[in-house]
Amino acid sequence: MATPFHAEVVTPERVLFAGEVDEVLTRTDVGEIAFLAHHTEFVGALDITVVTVRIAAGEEGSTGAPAESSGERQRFAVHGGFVHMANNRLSVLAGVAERADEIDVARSRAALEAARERLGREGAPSAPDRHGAEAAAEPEGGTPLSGARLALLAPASAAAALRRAEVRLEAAGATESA
Amino acid sequence: MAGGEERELRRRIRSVGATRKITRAMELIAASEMTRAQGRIAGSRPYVQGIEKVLAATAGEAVGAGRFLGRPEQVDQALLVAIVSDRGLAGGYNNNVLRTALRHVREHERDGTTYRLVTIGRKATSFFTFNGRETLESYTKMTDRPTFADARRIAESIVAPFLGGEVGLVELISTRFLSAGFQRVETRQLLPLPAEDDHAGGDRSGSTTGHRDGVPGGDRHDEEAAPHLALYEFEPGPEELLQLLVPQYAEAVLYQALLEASASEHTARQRAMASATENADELMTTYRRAMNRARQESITTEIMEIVGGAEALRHSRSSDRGRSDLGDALEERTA
Repeated sequence: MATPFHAEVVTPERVLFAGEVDEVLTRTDVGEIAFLAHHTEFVGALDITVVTVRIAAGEEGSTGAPAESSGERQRFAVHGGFVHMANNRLSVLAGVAERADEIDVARSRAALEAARERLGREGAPSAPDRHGAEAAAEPEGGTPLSGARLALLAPASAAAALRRAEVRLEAAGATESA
Repeated sequence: MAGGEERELRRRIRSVGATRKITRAMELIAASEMTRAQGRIAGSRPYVQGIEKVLAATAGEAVGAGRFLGRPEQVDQALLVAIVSDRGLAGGYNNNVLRTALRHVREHERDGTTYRLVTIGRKATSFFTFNGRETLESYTKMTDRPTFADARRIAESIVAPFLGGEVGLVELISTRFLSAGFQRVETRQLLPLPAEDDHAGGDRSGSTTGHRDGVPGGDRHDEEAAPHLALYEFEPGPEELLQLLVPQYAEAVLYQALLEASASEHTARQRAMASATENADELMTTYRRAMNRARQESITTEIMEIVGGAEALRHSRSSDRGRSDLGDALEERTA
């Protein structure tokens, strides 16, 4: 059985999750990553993505949701942020994050449609949508922004909105076809 | 005459009493808002500390960080963010911040730095307009109960010019909430990201030296030692991470500053209103005494008049019986 370690998902307004876990899965700007106990000290910028924590046996998330059995997974939609692992403690720091069971699927679907429409209308993110930060983040002009850059440097863009809606739906476990 | 004075005083007592009711209510509201704000400061602490840890870890490694990190040597264009409140009636709260801000700007403009202002709170707008300073952005209606979305909006307006290279330095002036009994106006560097040694203690501006030690729950000194020794893995590279940290760090610090400013504002208002209520009590006591004296005086005067009048009548009757129609009439009345 995996060694448990401490993990937390923190937003500025509250701590979404804190407790002992076996494993944390997510995606940084570079690619997918899984954390087990005693992972090396790590700092990464998160994509707009899903964070999955596997709660350790006999543990309860401090969020109050009882873990019925070991290995229960909890998912969070995070809209960019950082992950920090040090001294066998993992923190996910996100400006905005939602627990899967708190996500409003209908609203996310609507947001997805709206973002698609916006993207279709604008094509690539276009001039009025881009101010200093975005331009600075993308000096060559043509290359699309990576996930973390989109989340942190251009949160208002249609592309970021689209990713956010997709990730919300993924975290909530709602397939897109419905 | 005396009755008029009494009526006037009664009117004043009523008016002071009404004001007292208002100040008392404001005092109670401010007290409960303060408790709420304190709770939210505590709630934001894990996040802010986390971001600071990420910054400390990354800053140690980022060699070519350039203008994203540390104290810039020569700054042509700078931004100053000042946080005050929308409403007055909070003692010296607004003025302390605003005067510090103006002094700061004037001092550094002598060194050739041009400052532009981003203000939060309606009181700042009128102050800087009066002093002939233009504001780049002014935000209102967020200091009562600031949200993270508010911090994000402010951050957007300062991060964009910073990353775009238009400004080389962003500073923040606000009131730190050190404890319920102790708040202090403080000037901090917001961007570029403060380098580690900057963090740990040696803040450059004299008025704020050693403030980190004063932050409640600030256990950062113990934890800060660790990242030095640790060998971190970075995804993406540390230099790139720093750029990504800029907006998120700005948001986190602004959010905390907003919360602390809000708690300080409510504390200042509570204190101001408590003393206003006390003053109203005192004033009412004074007026009530004056009114009682006036009433007593008018009663005394009336008695004196009646007694005097009766005495005079008796006197005149005994000496000159035939003459007084008026005297008869009066006698009938008093009888």
